[in-house]
This record gives sequence, C-alpha cells and structure tokens, in this order.
Amino acid sequence: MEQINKTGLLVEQTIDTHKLIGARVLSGQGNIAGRVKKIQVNPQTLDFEGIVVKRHFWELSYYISKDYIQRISKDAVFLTAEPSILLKFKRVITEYGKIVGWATQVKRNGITNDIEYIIVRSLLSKPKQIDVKKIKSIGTSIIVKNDAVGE
Amino acid sequence: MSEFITSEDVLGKDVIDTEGSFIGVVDKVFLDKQTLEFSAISVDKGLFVSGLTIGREYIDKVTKYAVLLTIVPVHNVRGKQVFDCDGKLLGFVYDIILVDQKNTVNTLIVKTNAFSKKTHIDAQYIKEVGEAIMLNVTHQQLQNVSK
Repeated sequence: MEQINKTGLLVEQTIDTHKLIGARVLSGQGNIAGRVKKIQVNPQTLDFEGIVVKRHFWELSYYISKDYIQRISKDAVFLTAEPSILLKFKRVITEYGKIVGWATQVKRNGITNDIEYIIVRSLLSKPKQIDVKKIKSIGTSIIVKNDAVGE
Repeated sequence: MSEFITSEDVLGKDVIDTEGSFIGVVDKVFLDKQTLEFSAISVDKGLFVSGLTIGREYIDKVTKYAVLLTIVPVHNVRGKQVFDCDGKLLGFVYDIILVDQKNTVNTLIVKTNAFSKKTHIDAQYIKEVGEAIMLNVTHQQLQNVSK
C-alpha cells in the first residue's frame, strides 16, 4: 500500500480500527467487559480518546476513556481496571457469608471509575447504602465487612 | 460447649470460596478414622453435577451462614474461555490436571470446540483467572513450545 506520511507511525505499526469493532474488551483480572461498539476520536487533535462498549444485548452501552485502557492488540482491548458499573446486580455477601442482597446502584466519583458507595437491595429489607471503605473484596460476589450490615 | 460446633452447624450450609462464589452445599462431613479429627467436607454442587471433597486445610471458617474457604476451587475453571496475551480466543477449558490432589493446576486441557483435538497448556503460562483465563504468552509462542 502507498503511504503519505511525515512523522506518524508506519501503517504496518498501526491497528485498523475497523477490525477493532466487535473485538473483546478484557480486564487485567481475566474478566470480559464486553465488545467494542465504537471508537471515539478527539476531533481537534485526532487522538484516540476511548471506546464504546456493550456487554450483553439487554444492557446499555458504556464509554471507557483511554485513561482506563492499558493496550490494544489486534484481537482485544485490555483495560487497566474492572469497570465499576459492571458491579450492578452482583450479589453482596458479608465476610461471614451472609447474603445481604444485590447491588442495584453503583455511585461513582463523578464519571470516573472510582466507587463511592453501592446501594444494596434484598427482598426482605430496606435498601442499604454501603460505603466503598466497607467493601472488603470484589469477585464473583461483592464481599463486605461484617460491620457494614451491623453484624 | 459454646466454643464447639456440631455436624448440624455444618451440614446443609452454603460453601463459599474467596471470590464469593457459591460452590454448593455441605452434604457430608468426614472424620479421620484413627484420630477422629475433622478431615474434610463433601460439597453437593447440584443435580447432574459431580460433587467435590474439600480438605480441612482449605476451610477458613464455619459461620452461622456458610462454610468459607481459603481458596477458589480450581475445578471451577472447567468451561472457562482461554485467551492468549493478545486477547486471541484459544478455546475453552475442557479438563484440568492437578498437582497431586491439591488445589493447584498442573495443566489445562483446552479445546476450541467439542470435536477439536485437545491442547495441553502448562500452568506456568496462566497469567490470570477470572471469568476467563488469560495466558502470558501468545498463541504462536505456545505452538513453538509444543513443537
């Protein structure tokens, strides 16, 4: 292919954005955050800015800025962190294994990925707000400290 | 007597791993025949799924709600997708080979589909295990190693 280029990367060193559409978005923890729906570019600088991701067909798409993108290969986009909005509907349990409920809302610090608190609902009790400091770990479930629910 | 628990406190309890996954329900408690010490639990994982026996060394505590483990049982990796370090999907975990009978993977046996041949991937190439398994090598590097 002919190239017209002054200081930019050679075309062989770049990634075809068209091929990235539909690529998987993977977190460093081995979780699948979704697939790339769109690639967003800064209209002034022409820099890559972020991606629009969709996980399941019944979920809304979400945007991840390049702040949270570690690298891009021809097969996938790798994130630096788990998107915190994906915590929604994860089960919440205490360190002692008591089921607290389901995370129905994740309140973030502005539009960053930093969690401030989660709202947990269950069938039998009122919604609870649990501060991020009370979250012990996040895996298949969100594990909270016992005193987060007054144990 | 309040510092003791009985079999009733254990049987029927949920078994939860360190990721917060519900593994199953305790359906048996094993005692050592010679020492009469608590040795292991048997976990019922549900209909049509074979159970699991977990040794006491992997049990963190028994609470009034659940039996909490110190591990994520490696058997859970069966069925998970496997990606190389470039995010290329290599297949799914068809089976695993453990180190002795410990909770440590020696080898992943990966297939691309139900009818494809099996590929053995040594545990040293596993970078991360989450919803999927991420390797620390590319597909090409794996193929070079197997040659």
